[in-house]
Amino acid sequence: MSWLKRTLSSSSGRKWLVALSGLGLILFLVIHLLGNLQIFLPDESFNEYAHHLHDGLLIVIGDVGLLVLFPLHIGLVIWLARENRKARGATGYKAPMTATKQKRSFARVLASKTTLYIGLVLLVFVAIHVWQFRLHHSEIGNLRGAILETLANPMWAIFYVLGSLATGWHVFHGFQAAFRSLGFTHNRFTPALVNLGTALALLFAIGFSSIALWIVIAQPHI
Amino acid sequence: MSESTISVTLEVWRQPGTDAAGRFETYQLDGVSTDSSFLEMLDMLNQKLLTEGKEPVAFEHDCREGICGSCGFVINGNPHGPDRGTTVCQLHMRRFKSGAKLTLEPWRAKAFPVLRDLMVDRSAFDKIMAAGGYNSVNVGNAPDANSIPIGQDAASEAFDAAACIGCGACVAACKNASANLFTSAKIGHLAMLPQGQPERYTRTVAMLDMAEDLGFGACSWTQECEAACPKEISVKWISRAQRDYVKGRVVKGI
Repeated sequence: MSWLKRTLSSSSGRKWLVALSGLGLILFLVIHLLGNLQIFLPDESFNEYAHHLHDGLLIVIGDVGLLVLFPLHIGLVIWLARENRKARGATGYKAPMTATKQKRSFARVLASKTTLYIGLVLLVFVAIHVWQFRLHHSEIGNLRGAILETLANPMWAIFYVLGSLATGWHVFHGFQAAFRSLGFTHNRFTPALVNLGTALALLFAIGFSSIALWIVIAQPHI
Repeated sequence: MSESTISVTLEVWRQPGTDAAGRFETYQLDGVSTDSSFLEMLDMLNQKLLTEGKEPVAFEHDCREGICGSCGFVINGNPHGPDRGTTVCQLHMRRFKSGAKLTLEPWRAKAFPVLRDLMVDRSAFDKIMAAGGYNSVNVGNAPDANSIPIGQDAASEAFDAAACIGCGACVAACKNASANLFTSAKIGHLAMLPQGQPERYTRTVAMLDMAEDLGFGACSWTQECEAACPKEISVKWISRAQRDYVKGRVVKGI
């Protein structure tokens, strides 16, 4: 198994795993968003969905998948980031990092340089989010009611809007970068993947934050 | 366009040797011709420093035609200065306004120790090349031209990568001081051609592993390297090398 160890400990191999785990997490986000958007339905459909989810196999696959993908993605990125930081050497540049000759948009360049730090923000966000709506609620019972109650508080609504925007920002750079790290580059399809990543980023940012905004503004009845 | 002269303020990194401490020194230079190249402007500064009995600023240069890869330092945060697709020797002073303040720094990378002032030791690139950037063939006489048919599109694309002059701007521009653009360009041009196929995967693995061992960082896809590259080499080569690396390790069992 030494070839496997050599592959996965090399920076190229680690980038490959970070890309794969990242795409896995994006797949999870799509399913998560589709489930969450059912909260807009007026009757008991969200609670029924939550019960079906928790009684079925999907939750087990999701839990195991996330327990593998999350630590793998974060752990490997931290390992890479520590080496990347050392690679600059003891003396850094005096001139600011904002100098660039890139023709790409400002947002894209900024995203590529801040995705790592937004990832750390997301780590904190996810920890609070999972505690609040999963671990803290061992009884799913009326999950919809619990969500409506929590997000009616403007502080929590802002917290979730910021978390949604951070998720979008992370995916904005991460999605297309993942395909590049996996070795997929093509004159026609790479630009298409860049656009698809932007669409996914907007979908996550708007989709998830719309729930928090709807609850805090419209104050729907529990 | 008629010649005119400008004044510039230069903030230059001065470091007497690799292990010595460095610091910025500020110099005022007047009467700089807008027709002069950036290096001619530095020659003028050095002449001034010599006549004042001071140490001239050390910087590397050779051809001054933008093709040798010797020159290069960071001007106000941009490797090779503010223009795309050029080396610092092909940058001209007409690009700057009179009174401009220019901060000159050497390439910053752990694997590129400063030798003196703006000069860095780039022998790490030689070590990456020695790890596999060649074809192992016994060459006798020159083979007949066109004895191996290669399509024009493949030859052109290979040349895009082969245009790399090994200046090190990609490393300097990268937030991770990664050598991936240099390494993958050297891997990529051989991977495009039939002569490069027998050692394609061993070469890819050996060169990327060597770059990592030398202390260069990994790729975060900020694409700063491509923007800084005087030959405008595409980041697609990094992606292709990445594919060949994993294929070499996993499928070919290297």
